[in-house]
Amino acid sequence: MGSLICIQHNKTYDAGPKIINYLNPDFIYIPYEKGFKLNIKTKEKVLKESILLTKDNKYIYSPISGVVLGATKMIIDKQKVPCIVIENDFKEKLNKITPAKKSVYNYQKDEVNKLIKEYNAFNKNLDGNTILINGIDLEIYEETYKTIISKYSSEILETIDAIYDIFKYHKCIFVIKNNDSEIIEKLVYQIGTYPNIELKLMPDLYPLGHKDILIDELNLLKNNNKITYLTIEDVLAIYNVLRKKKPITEKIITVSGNAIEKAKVINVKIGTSLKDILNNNIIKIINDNYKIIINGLLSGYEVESKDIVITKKIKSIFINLLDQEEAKECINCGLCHRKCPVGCDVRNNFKLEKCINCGICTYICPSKINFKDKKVK
Amino acid sequence: MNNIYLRSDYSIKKISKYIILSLIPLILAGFYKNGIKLYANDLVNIYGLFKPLLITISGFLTGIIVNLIYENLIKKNKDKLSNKIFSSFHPIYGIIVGSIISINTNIFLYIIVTFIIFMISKFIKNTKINLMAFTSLIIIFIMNIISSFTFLNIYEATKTFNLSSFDYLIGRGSGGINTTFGLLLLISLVILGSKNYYKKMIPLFSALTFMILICGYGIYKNEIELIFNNIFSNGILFCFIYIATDPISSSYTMYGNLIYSLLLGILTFIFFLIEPTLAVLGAILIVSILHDFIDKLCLR
Repeated sequence: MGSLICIQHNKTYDAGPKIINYLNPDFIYIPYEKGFKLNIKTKEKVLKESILLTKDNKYIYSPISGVVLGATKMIIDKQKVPCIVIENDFKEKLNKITPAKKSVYNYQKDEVNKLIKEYNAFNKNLDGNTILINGIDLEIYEETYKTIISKYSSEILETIDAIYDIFKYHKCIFVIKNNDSEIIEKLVYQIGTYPNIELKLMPDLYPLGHKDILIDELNLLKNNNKITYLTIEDVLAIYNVLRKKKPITEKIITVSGNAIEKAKVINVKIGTSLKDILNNNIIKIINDNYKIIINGLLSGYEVESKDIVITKKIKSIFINLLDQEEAKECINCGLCHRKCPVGCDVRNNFKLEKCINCGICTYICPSKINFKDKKVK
Repeated sequence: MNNIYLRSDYSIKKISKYIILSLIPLILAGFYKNGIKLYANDLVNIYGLFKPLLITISGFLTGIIVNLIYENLIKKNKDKLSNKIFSSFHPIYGIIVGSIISINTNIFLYIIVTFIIFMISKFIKNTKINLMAFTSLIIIFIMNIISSFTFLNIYEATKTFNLSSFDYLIGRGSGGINTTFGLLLLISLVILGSKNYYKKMIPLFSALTFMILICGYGIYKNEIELIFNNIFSNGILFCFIYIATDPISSSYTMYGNLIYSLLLGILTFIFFLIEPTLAVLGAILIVSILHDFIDKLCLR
C-alpha cells in the first residue's frame, strides 16, 4: 500500500454534534428492483414496516404509513430508476409489534443471522475469527459515524460485546480517529466494562476509513485470519434488529457543503428525497450555483437534480460550489502516483484495476487535472 | 471547467513561490559576489553593480511574458492574472537560467535567446527535454562563438586564488551568477526537500553518485581536495538541486528517480573529465531525454 494523506480541513463544512430528526417527509420513494414481487397496489393503504416488495427471503419494508400513489422515476445511485411513491399520512401506524428479547446477549448465532437478513439490516456474513468495527468516516467532512458513536456509544459497545460473545470471535478491534476527543472520552469511560473490545485510535488520514486500506494498515490479513468487517452503522442496525425487532427504515446522513448555511447530521426515513429535505428548510441553500455530490467530496459522485432518494448506500450529501480553476498541462510531478494508496498510475493506466476511487490523484494534482473523468473514459 | 469539488492547495503558483523563496538568499549572495564586491573594488560601473540582479530578474520577466502571450493570445484563457503568470514553470526557468549562466553574458542576447526558446517550448508538447539545461547550453555556446567565454568574473580573472573546501562553501569558487554558495545551496535543499512535490531523491542520489566517483578519481590521482571542491564548484550542486529536479523533464516513479539520479551522477562525472564547467548541464540534458523511458521501464 502507498501513503495516506492528511487533508486540509475547512471548518465551514463541519456539522454540529447533534442529530437532527426529519422523520415526516411528505412522500417516500421505494426503488423497484428487478425480480421483486409487488405486495401492494395503487391507492392501497400501507402501514409502517409493512412489506412492500419480496424476493426469496428478502423483504423491503415501508418506512411510513400512508397511501400508495403509483410510480415515478427518481435518482437512485446515479441513475433514474422507477420508484413506488407513498404519500405520508403522518400517523406512523405500525403493521405489528413483535416482542424482542430483553438483552442482545440472549440470542443464538443462527437467530442473529436470520434476523439480520429478515429485517434487511445488511448483507454480510458474521462468521470469522476476528471482528473489525470501523468507526472512521471515509470522507473528510462526513460526520455520520462520529455522530452515531457519540449518540449511541453504550448501545454500540453492548452490541459489539454481544456479537463477540455470540459468534465466539478470537479478537475484536474497534477503530476510531485519534482526534475525535469527544467520542474517545465517551468510549474510554465505558470501555472498562467490555474487556473483549480492543479500542484502537488511528490517525486522521485519508482514506483510512476504506475497508481494504484499514485492514491493510492494521495488518489483519496475516495467518489466514478470517475477518468480519462491520461499520458502526451495521452495529447500530444489529442493535435495532435484536433489541427492538424493527426493520431498518431510517438512515443517518451528513449534509454539508459550502453552498449551504450550516452542515447537519440528519436522521431521515429511507426513501426520502433530497428535494423534500430542502423544501422543508431542514437545510438552507445560500448559493444557487451548486452541485449535488453524493458520498463525499473526494470519492463521491455528482447527481444532476434534487430528485435523489436517500438509500442505505448514501452516507453523505454535499451541496457544493465547483472549483473554478482551469486545468493546466501536466507537470509530471508524479504526486498522483506517489500519493495513491494502492500505487496506481492513472496517467499511464498502471494498476488501474486496483483503483479504490478515493480521488487522491485529483485532489493532490498541482495542475488541477480531473483524473476522475479520465478514469471513467 | 473542471468538475471537481475539493482541491489541495498545491498549485504551480505555490510551488513556484517556494522555489523563488529558496532562491532569494542565493540571488542576494550572487549580487554581493558579482556586483557589490566588484563595484566596491572599482572594477565595474553602476550597471555592473546591478547586472547580476538584472539578469536574474529579466529571466523571470521573460518567463512571465511568454506565459502571458501564450495564455492570452493563443489559449485565450480568462483565468486570474496570477494564474496566467504561473500557468507553467517558465518564470522559474528564467530565474534559474539567469542564475546558472556567467556574469559575462550579454544581457540582450540572454533575453532574446531565452524568449525564443521558451516561446518555442510552449508549442512543442511532447518534447520533454530539460529546458533550463538546453537554454543555458545554447546561451553559453553562442557566447563562446561571439567572444572567449569564461565563468570567472572580472575580479576572479585578475587574481590567482588558492581556495580551500571551506572557501567553496562560502561561495568563493567560480561558476554561474548565483550558483557558487555551497552552504546556502545545502540550506535550500533542506527547505525544498521538506515539500511533497520536490523530488529530493534526485539531488541526493546524483550528488552521492558523483561524489563516490570523484572520490575514487581523487584517490587515484592523489588529490583528496578534489572531492569537496568539485561538488560545490562549477554549479554542480545548484544544477542537481534546481535543474535536474525539474518535474517535467525528470522521472517521477521511485525507482525511476533512483535510476535517473544514478545515470545523472555517472554522466556528470564522465563529462566532468572532459569539460568540468558544462559537465552537469550536458548530463542533465541527456538524462532528461531518457526520463520517460526510465519511468515506463520502472512501471513494467
